[in-house]
Amino acid sequence: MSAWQPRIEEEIALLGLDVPDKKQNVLTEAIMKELDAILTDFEQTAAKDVKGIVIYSAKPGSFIAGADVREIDGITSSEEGRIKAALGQKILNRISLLPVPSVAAIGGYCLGGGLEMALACTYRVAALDEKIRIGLPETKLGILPGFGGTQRLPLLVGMREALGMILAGKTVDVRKALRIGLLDSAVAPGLLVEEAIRFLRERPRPHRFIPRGFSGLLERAPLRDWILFPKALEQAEKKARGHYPAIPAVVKLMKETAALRPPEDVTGKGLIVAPEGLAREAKAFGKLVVTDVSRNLRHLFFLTEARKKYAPYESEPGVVTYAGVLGAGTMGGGIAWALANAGWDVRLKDIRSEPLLGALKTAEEIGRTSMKRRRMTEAEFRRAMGRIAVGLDYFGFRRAELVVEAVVERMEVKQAVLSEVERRVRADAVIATNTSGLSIDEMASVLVHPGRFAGLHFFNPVHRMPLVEIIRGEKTDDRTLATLFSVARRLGKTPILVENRPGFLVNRILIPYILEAIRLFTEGADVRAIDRVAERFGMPMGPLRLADEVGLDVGFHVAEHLERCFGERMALPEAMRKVFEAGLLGRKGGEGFYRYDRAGKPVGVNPRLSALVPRAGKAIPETLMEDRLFLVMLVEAVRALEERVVGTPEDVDIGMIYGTGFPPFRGGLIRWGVSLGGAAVLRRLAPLSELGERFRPPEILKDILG
Amino acid sequence: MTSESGVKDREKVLILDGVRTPLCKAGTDLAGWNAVELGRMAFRAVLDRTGLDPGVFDEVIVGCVGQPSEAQNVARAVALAAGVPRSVPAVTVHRNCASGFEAITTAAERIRLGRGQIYLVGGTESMSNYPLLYSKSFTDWFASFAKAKSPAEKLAALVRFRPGMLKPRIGVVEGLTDYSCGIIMGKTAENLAVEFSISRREQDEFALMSHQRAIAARERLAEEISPVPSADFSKWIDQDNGPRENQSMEALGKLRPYFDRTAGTVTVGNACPITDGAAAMIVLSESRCRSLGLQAKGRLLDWKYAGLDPHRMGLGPVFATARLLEATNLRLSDFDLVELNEAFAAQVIACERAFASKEFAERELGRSLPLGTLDRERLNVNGGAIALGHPVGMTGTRLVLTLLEELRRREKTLGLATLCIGGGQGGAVAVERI
Repeated sequence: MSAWQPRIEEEIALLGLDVPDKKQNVLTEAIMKELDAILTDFEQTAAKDVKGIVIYSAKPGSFIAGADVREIDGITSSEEGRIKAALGQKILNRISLLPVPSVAAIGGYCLGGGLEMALACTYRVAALDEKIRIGLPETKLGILPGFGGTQRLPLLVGMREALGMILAGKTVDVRKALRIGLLDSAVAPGLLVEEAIRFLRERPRPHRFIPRGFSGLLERAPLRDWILFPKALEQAEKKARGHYPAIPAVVKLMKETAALRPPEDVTGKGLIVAPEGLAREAKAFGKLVVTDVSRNLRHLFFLTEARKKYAPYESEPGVVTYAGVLGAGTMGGGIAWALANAGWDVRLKDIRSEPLLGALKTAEEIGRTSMKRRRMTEAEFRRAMGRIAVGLDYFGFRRAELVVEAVVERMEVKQAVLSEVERRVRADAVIATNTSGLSIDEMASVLVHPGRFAGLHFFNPVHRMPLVEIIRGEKTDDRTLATLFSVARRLGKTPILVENRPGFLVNRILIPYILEAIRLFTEGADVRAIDRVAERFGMPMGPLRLADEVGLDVGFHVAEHLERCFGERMALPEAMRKVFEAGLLGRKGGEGFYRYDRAGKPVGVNPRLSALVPRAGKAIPETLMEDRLFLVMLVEAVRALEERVVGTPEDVDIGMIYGTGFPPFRGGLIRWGVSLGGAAVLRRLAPLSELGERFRPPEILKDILG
Repeated sequence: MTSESGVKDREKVLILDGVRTPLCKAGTDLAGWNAVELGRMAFRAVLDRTGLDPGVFDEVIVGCVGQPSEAQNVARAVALAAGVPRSVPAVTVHRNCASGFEAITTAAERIRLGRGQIYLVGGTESMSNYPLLYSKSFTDWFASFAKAKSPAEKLAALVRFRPGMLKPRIGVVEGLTDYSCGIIMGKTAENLAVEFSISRREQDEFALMSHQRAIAARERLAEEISPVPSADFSKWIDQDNGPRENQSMEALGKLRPYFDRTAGTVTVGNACPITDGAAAMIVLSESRCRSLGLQAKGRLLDWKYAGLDPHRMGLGPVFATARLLEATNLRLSDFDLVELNEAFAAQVIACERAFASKEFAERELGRSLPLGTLDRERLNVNGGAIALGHPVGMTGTRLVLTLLEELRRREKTLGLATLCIGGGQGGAVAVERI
């Protein structure tokens, strides 16, 4: 069955794309070749009889969501990558070289190869639909746009805007696209094709970016080369920190090709660019597509895609319109805001009014920041804030279909609160606890209906951390799981299913890493050196900075709990106890391993530490530090898999990336282990095993890491 | 009881429950919230307290006097903010100081007409947020300046500008001034003080009593209050801030007359303060109440509004109550408790005298006998607006709420809520505890 459905109506060639068996159109080599054949046919027969061609999606409300990532994943050599890109470029180039004008009618997602096809056309029109996103997100997969995107986009929106879009992989909505010149027009969805045809009949002068005014100077040589490119690189590297080769590759390519001019003797109607620029782009694409970073990012992409359909339960979710939240601490407040922002009415209860006021203040700050970043309008902000009602009583809980408990982490308090709240809610209300590690079953034991109960573990700060651990107790029923999965997804979070074991998944793996960092510190390593090793590995912040961020009191309690549960393997280093007992709280208290200024910015290592903690003066090589920090996590992760805390290695990878910021370019913790290989890991563990049980490889390590 | 205007098979109108925000003097703790947000908190609280699905309502009816210019039909804005589904319509009602009554009685009338079964009603008022307005002369000038196109025209317009145009019109003052007779409410109270020979001392004593009763009633009033945060989330507000614990005759005596500085007796101490607050209530038919399996707090027996001379609008309760008694065949003495809104001490005392006066009854009400005595053991037993304040659009709802709550506590049956209305009207509502 063919994907393209060409037809000619009233001197207009309409090229509708409908990739069979797919919800969204994606470009494959076969589909590109089919287009190639259609263009050949068109040039030979129909070209002189038509006024122009419209490229659109025959699926309603869509366009082209990009190239097929599976196919990209099949590329085995950089030369193969180059050839594939060049082939795509050649076919899209034919559109721009057509003797008649062409227009892309964009009715839905227009990403990657989809946008590159639209860029090759003379005009671009889109439907007024807030869901539509337009952009070149290739760098998020560790590659760069290989079908001419890097060459054509700057001609429409300018180099500064194009660099920004490509480097960040950021997509824009229809209105923004219109404003920056990426689109020529936007109309109601029902008028889209009509509007496209109007452009072909009226043939207005095609849009080109023209640098103007003071900022226009930056768009031209030499300021472009002196300021624009270095600045863009610097800014992008602030986030990428040298771990993402696509970033410098994009800047280098666009800089080197910026001055190229298209050949002058071509009379095409589309957006024509210099062949040399395309050739360089294809080559750069080929180089990037075979890097480990790109492979790992693709791995993560597939995992994330698969997660959207992941449903480890057999039940429909309960409908949630109203949620009760118990406990207005940092987590309770964050959860209340997240729920309200997703459109639910929330009742937040505490036993004192001060935390309620604090939670509202926190919510307001988060909302105002979103507003400043234009992620929400003032009216939306007001509406979300207004959905949070607060009180010292249980009023409103009778309306709730979901209750999230986030009171202090003490079993007897949680049990008392849970058994109380169960009497206040409807029979079908789901009750969840946001405990970071206490036993779900022990809590469930006080409930009359434990089937409605499970863990719903958010990470701090709730509005930013994308992972939610959903913890199944012994008695948790499927409807409860289904409801919590659907809630987590509506909050825009990625849920993973975790069994009720101490520390669940993420804390159980993360705590040994922080403890190991503290041990390294005690042995003599410098605070900053330890964190630098982890950052160089790709962690968003080092373990000691992370401990400060989480709160040393919170970390201490979780670690103490894990020590009780797991014994020697998670033994608390003496230094941790000393630091906690000295009352250092981390960032929130102004000092921890680092000192912080009033705005909460770290201003250097805490000088009080050396007096508090006696340290040996050992010099520890950085490679050894890296091994100890990350292998201790890997071993614990394998052990968690051995105990079936989660179902698959992919759960660990998702959990660590979305829950701790484990570097995405490594594809996840287990994936990192696999890339090292089981034998290599065992070899590196061997000298460490004398340090304790925590480095002793579990039986199944080789099975999992291969 | 043959109480409902003679027609017995009519649908009975019940009050399920109600709740209000604390009342705070304008410019104080609640000043950061506008009328929509105040309303939101009260309406959300009544939904949360009753646990009702907000989709059940036939309509939302909100009383509000000073509608925020940013939220026309403030009822709709309140309803949506409180989580009422979009499909439920909303209407704002305005009968000046009785707007909070009007919301209740409009719902009751719709129920009796069979137009609906269950209504979410109440009142909201942020007198702190009443605007300053530009004068007509400035508005006209601004329009001409905006219309001017060429630089020359603009310059010509600029030259016509006079600084005096910028003198603001004060919304709250204009709002409290009667259009037809052109006098401010305080002056109508002065009129009554003269007509009924009410001394400054009598007024101050009444004001003191209001404060003392309100202070003594703190815990009781807390039952009808849903605490709210201040708009900057710095303060938890769980009680009315008007009542003064240390109010005294001495302190009251020191105040100078506010509305008639030469010979007046009405001061800011024996008048109600301008205040912010909102109240919400659920009004429904007996059959709907039964089908929802709910227990209502009270029944709305009947209600009347009456008109009178705007110069003496403070006597509104007498005229409205006279009609209500006639319609219900009740006597004033049948009521166990009375809430008569304290716009001004002079005005309440004038009402007391008019209620008891045979001469007034004959001359003004066309009755041979006086309406009866309003003894103070039954009147405003938890204090009134002089201490608590009077957010004009919400007070009507609060009076009915406070009345029902006190009937419940005392296990009494019949209550009367009545108030005077700027512009020369009175409103009266008779309720029965269930």
